[in-house]
This record gives sequence, C-alpha cells and structure tokens, in this order.
Amino acid sequence: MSSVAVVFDRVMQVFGSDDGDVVALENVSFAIEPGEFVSLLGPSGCGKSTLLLALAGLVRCSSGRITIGGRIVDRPYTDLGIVFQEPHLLEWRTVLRNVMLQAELRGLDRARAEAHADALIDRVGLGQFKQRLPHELSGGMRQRAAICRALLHDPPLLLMDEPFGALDALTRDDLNLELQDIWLRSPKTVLFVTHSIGEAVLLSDRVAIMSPRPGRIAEIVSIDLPRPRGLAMRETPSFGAYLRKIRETFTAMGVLRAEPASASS
Amino acid sequence: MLLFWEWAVITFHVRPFVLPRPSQVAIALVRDANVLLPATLATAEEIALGFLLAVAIAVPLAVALSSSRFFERTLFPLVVSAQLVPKVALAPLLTVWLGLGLATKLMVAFLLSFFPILIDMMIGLKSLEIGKLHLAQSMGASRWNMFFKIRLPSALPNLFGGMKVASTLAVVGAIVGEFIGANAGLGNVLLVANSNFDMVLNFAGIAYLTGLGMILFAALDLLERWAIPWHVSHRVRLEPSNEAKS
Repeated sequence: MSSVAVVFDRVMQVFGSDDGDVVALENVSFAIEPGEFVSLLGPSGCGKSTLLLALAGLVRCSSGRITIGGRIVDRPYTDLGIVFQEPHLLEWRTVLRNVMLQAELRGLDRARAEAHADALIDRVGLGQFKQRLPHELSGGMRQRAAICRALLHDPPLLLMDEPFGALDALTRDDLNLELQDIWLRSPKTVLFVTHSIGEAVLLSDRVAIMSPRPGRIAEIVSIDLPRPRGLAMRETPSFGAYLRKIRETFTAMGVLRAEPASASS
Repeated sequence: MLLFWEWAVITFHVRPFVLPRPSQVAIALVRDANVLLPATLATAEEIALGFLLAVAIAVPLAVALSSSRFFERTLFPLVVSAQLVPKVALAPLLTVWLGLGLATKLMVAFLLSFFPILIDMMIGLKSLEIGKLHLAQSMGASRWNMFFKIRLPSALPNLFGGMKVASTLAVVGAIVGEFIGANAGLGNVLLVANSNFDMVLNFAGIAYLTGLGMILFAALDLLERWAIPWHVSHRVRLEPSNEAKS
C-alpha cells in the first residue's frame, strides 16, 4: 500500500472558442500530501473537472506544471485509478469481467487479479451480481463496480470526478461511507471532485474551494474531525462549523446569494 | 388480406394478366418449384457473395477511415462521390464488362450494399463516449486492446444495423443485375413471366424473392442475437422483474 504526493504549480488552462478564449483554470497552485484525501469543491463550470483531467494527463494544461510523485505529467498518467460521474462500464461484459478489464489492460497476473476482484466486489456488496451485465444493475451498483475497477491494481492515487453526482441522495450518503471504509483500509492519495459541501467535509482531510470561472483556489480548509466519520457526525456543531465556514466563503464569492433577512444567524 | 384479394379478383372480373387470384399463385408456388427453386438459389448466390464482399471491404475501410484523420480526409470524399453515382445506372455497363453471368450481379449487389455498411460502421466506431476513451487511456490500454476490447464491440450494434439495411439492397442489386441481362435467377424468371403475361408465375416469383429476403434478414438477425446479446434491442421485458435492485 503506497501513496504519492501531487503538486499543482501555476496551472493555467485556456480553451479557445469562437467567442474568444475561455480561461478555465487560472494559476492553480497547491500540493497534496501522500495519503491525503483532498476534495475539490466548487460550482459547476469552475474548472474542477478540468483540473482533475489535467492531473490524469488526459488534458494538457496551457501552462504550469503538474507532478505526481515527483514525475511531471505530460501524457495520460496510468499509475492511478479514476472514477467518473458515469460508470462507463462496458455493456457487453459482466461485473467481474468489467472489473478485470483493469488487469487485462495492464497485463497483470490473472489469478491474483481475479482473487482481488472477487474480494473487492464482495466488499462493496455486489457479490451476488458478479455475473450480471451492467444493464441489470442500478446506477449505484454500477458505480460501485466502477470503483472496484479503479482499485483493482491498488494504485497510489485515486481520482474521482463527482462519482456520486448521478445518484440519489440516500445512495450517495451510503456510498460516501463505503468510500471512506475502502480508503481507511487501504490508504492512498485521493483527489475528489464534488459540488456538495457536506460531502467534501465528510470525506476529506482538506477541502480546496474553487472560485467560479476562471477557476482559482480561493481557500483551502483543513477538516480536523476524527475518523471514521459517520453520517451522524453531520449533525454535530463542529461539523456545522465547517459547513458554515465554507458556505460563507461561497457567499463571499457570490456563488451563493445572501441569506434571506428572516433567517436566524 | 389474401381473402379480400381473392374475392376482389373474382367479383370484379379482373383479367388474369392484370392480377391473378392468390389461390392460383399458391398453386404455382408448388407446381413451378422446379423452375423457381433453382432460380432462387442462383439469385441467392449472387446476393450472398455480393453482400459478403461488401462486408469484407467496408468494415476494414471503416476502421481505417475512423482511425486516421489523414485517411478520412483523403479517402472519404472519394467514397462519397462514388456513392453519388447511381449504381443501378451502372448495371448495363457492368454487363458489358463482366458478362451475363454471376460476376455482374455480384458487383451490383456489392455496390449497393457497400455504403450503408461503411457509414454505419464508421458511426459506430466514432461514437465511442469520451469517458470510455479517457478510462482506457488511464488504464494504459494499448491501441490493439483499445480497438478489440472496446471500440469494436461497441460498434457492433451499428454494424448490424448497417448490414440489415445492406442485405435488402443486395437483393435489389442482384435482381436489377438480372433484369439487365441474365439466363438464370429469379429476376430472369420475373422478366420471362412478364413478357409472357404469365402473372401467376410473376407473383409466384415475387413470393419466392420475398421469402429469400426474409430468410436473409432472419439469418442476420440470428447472427446479431448471437453476437450482441447484451444490446438494449435484445432485452425482452414482458413483466417487471422480480429481482431486487438496490
């Protein structure tokens, strides 16, 4: 079990368009320690997904530098696991074979990989659905399979781009706990993109708050809450304090409008 | 519908050389089988070979055109321009070049069925969602794996759609080829029957031809069910499933 450090150094991302240049990311600089769980929190269009894709090497930044474990990212980086908002399972493969795709594409030892796949699938509660096709699963189940796939090769870095965004709130809460469980057992560096303040506070060591376009890191908040964190913790004052702090940052940025006059302070 | 046909011909005293009675056609289906069956086999051969040739050329070409922007920009306009020439108008020319035998009919069937397969396969290959592409890149997929494990399977539904359309066009191509000049095949039978005003044989020939088309289509459908059982078009949901999802 290992994890790596990530460094963003003055990352700029400019997209050309018919109406002129669009600055998606402006001077993003921050570092993630090995084994840290960091959330990128911001409104739609703030560039957080772009930053994640740039980290994965799937998109090249216009200027600046990104390093993973000291290595510069200048092409698709493969020593990581990635989960998108859409599970993107192959429709013609069973759950097991979808998870095993990770091993096949990397040429990993088949028997070991299959044993690990079995264990992961069991652990996320899909044990009975190993031979099912994706269309037989609900959205939450598919996403759980996608997470297993991303973890099969035990990568030191896990990137997640709003992985629970397409799911209903209850499933989302449940999968938040599932993710925490998985991460606590097998610590790795995680960059988690979300637009939910609660989700970010629940899961992260630190929350990097992004401003609306052009995306900048407005603030980084350290979350000093003990783990494992449960859903009940969301109702505690210390949790609420973090929620308030972040909410106020968004209000100051204009992302959230000012509270109605009748609201209690 | 057949009953109405039978009734209408008798009641309105329709001349046999305009519209025969279905009962007469039905008899001819069996009585003239010694003529119709060999003709069907001859036409079937033209259709099958022309169609298979179309698949054999269109699929690799589609792969090449979808993978390389260079190829696409150079070859694709040529292919489209060629497509604009009405193949049916080429049939007499092909008869002069290739003779009255199998080759001409095969060529016309090929020319007509080629384009739908090419286009649908290209669409299938290009429609791969960017998320899958990103995932594959992040997983370190080689170009070989990317193609055979991801691109190709996801393009199969489109390919089968194109092939089904192409199969009906291959039938048309073979028949048109036979109309231009042939000494065998169902098109030939139809022409002869027509010139003799033998409408019964004409309709019987059309019935056999339709049957042939249906068999071809059904064969493709079976192949499709075998090849892509996972596709949404093959999921039969008659009642809500009892299985619990969570």
